[in-house]
Amino acid sequence: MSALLEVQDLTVTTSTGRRILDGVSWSLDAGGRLGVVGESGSGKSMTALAVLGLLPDGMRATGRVLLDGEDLLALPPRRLARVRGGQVAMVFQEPLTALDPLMTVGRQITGPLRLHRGLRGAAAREEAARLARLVHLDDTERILGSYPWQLSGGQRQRVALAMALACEPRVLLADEPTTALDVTVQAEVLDLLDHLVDRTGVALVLVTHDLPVVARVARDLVVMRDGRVVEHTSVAAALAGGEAAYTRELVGAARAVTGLPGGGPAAGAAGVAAAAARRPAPEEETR
Amino acid sequence: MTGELTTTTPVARGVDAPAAAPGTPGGSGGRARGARRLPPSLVVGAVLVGLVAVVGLVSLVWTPYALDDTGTGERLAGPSAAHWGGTDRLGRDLLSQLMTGAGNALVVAAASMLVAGVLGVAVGVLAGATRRWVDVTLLSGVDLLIAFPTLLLAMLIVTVRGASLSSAIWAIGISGAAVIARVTRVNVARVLREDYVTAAHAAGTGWWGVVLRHVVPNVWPTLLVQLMLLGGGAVLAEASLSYLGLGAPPPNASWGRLLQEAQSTMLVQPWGAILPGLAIVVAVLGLNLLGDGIRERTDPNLRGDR
Amino acid sequence: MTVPTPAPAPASAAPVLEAVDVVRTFGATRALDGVSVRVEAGRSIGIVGESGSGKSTLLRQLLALDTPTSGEVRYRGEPVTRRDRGLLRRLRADVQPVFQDPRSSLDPRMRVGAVVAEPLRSLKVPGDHRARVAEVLASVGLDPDTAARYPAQFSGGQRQRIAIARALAPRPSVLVADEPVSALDVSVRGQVVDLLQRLAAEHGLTLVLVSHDIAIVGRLCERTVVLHHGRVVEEGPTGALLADPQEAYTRRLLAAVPQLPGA
Repeated sequence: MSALLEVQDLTVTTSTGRRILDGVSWSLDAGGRLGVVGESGSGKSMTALAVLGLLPDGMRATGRVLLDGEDLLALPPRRLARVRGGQVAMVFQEPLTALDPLMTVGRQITGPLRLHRGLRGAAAREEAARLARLVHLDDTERILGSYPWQLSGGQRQRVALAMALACEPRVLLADEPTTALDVTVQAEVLDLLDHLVDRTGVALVLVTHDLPVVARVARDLVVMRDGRVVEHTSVAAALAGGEAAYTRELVGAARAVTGLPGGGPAAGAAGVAAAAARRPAPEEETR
Repeated sequence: MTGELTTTTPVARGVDAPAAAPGTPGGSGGRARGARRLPPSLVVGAVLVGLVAVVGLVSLVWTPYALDDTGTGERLAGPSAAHWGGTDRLGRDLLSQLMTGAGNALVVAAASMLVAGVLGVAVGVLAGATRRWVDVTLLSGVDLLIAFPTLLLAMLIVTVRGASLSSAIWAIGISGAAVIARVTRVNVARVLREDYVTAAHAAGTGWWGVVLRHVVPNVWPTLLVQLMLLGGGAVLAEASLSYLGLGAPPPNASWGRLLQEAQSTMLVQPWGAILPGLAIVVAVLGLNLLGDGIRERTDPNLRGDR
Repeated sequence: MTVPTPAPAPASAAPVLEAVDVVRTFGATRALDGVSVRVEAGRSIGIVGESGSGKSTLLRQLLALDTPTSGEVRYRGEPVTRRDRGLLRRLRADVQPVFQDPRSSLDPRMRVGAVVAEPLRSLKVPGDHRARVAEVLASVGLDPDTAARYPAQFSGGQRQRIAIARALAPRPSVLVADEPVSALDVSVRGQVVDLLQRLAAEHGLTLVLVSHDIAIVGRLCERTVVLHHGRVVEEGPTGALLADPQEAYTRRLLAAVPQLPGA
């Protein structure tokens, strides 16, 4: 059984020698759905950046990131750039920063189509419209002619997803894709992610601090803390009581905070108190 | 970020529990702040500016020769034991003129920084902290000034007031005020949008309280940096104005005028041009480095063990 | 026009804070479109809504940081106006805010002691300010020597504790919290929710919680108001509202909350 994307002993060091990631390993099968969960400072976002070769200046990555057996860390920047956006696409927390404010949505989607798939003119426009429908941007014509700032947060994230899928990537890396969105919009975007993975067979890496979000979309789970992988398991196993104490802590905290109480504040208070009693006071990062 | 963060744990972390061991995270932070080394740019900048300042101050009470002393009449001489910097075409001591020039440069830099600071901050605070139409009106004035070259402004002022040290100061100061006003306005508006200002209002802090307690402390380091850069610019501008004869007239020694006078004799006695040129470089570099150093030193994000 | 008439309050005292038919427009947008909310003394009320619902605008109205375009905000029965300085001063001392992101709600250039003492200084509260600062820092679970450090030296959860200490300093009776935990790590959220609950009980505080997170409101608030597009869509006891939402929007909001299965 060979994985599609495999991270082996990934370590990221700053220029001052501090280890941001320390021996991170996980793997993702074709069509798989992996959630990477951790609190701020756990290194979850850094993992995504390192996989894409997008580390901030002065940081160094060692270890291996194998895509179909080819080590991305060893690739020359030019080839890596072709993989990025081609075979591995990404979506970020704030779609507005990922979109060019001076270009219409349509042109932003056709850009990668031309670059990676050689589609031009009417063919590119048609494909852009197909992608827009794929991400449920139903008012397709109007949206393709709009500028990013004319769209709502949810629509922007859909556009970012359409762009990411434009090159028919094999892996979709989503870093907190719904954190900036309202709850109802978040629910829609999560459903969409779910649908896209089913429909296109793209393998998903969902990086987030939000365990319930992962539980909704992912099947496998990597729990990170302080730059290390605490546990690599299935979502179901983690929810049933993970092996690592920290995983259980996170699940407990998520249950205590986001679980809707049935009986109003009194029951809620009991829930919080019980959760607090179950776990030692967890440590927290400065964001 | 100094070595304090290179702990055995990969990430320095704070402990968020009521029963957190007191003093551990912040205690080390407090020590680190006290013991933190000054940024090198701050030290070098301060030394260079200090050098110019000391020389300028000394020139007020003592120079090797009087400025109009043509001495033994040895003209355009190179450096010698009697004249360390050589002499000019009238046989006057170059070092004495350079020293006096330092004082002159400092006076212009300091005075135009003062003019720019007072005018710029006043306009910037008004624009950033009051009603929209005031902002728009003031800002268009400021933009007009920024678009107006310092040199043209100087010529205008000189035409009205005559060439003098104070004309140069006003010209440089007013041009600088426009830049300071813009920087002030942006920063004041930024601070006023912060939640801590809203919190202050909700805690009953009045307008003046907010300005004095929150806006000024959060804005002044940026302004000080800008003023230092402006000071460097002022030294250069004054040299240019004097070079063009728009600066202080002859009894005042100015580096710009020394350069201009040395121009025709540069091939015979290059020191006459090299020395004032070097002096300008030292002063401008010093002020710029000082600005950078202050920026590094006062960034609150570098404070504590973030 | 589905504004239900608020349940008649126990006819005793006037509510501490009350928004009466408040409209606030910004240019052509009506951020608040006739909102009425009663904040009863000693009770807890949650105001739930998504972005654009007008909840932040309503919060600014309740804190008297903004003036309604029409309608009025009443503090203990008296209408709040900019001109009534005395009333405003009493309101400031009595109604204190806690903001979402403690990174921006604490002045980075002020020591924690000065941050917490600010309401005491500004409101000219008599007494020993240093002692009071130490006292409130202790009551939110922070060490007294916290006062000498800068906010940047603390974690997000600790900073939110500092912000809560500042709010408590002038001994208010109302705490208005704007998304007090949504900027914090999940493991710390529970602790801060706990803290708010404990403080409210200990000091008999009235709690106004503004949040997009209906789950947090469910934990902390007896009554809940749901805002949507600047209007009150639904209002009622939290338990009943969560168990049996009447309006379509409320149901949609509840269904959208991501939950862990098997809780």
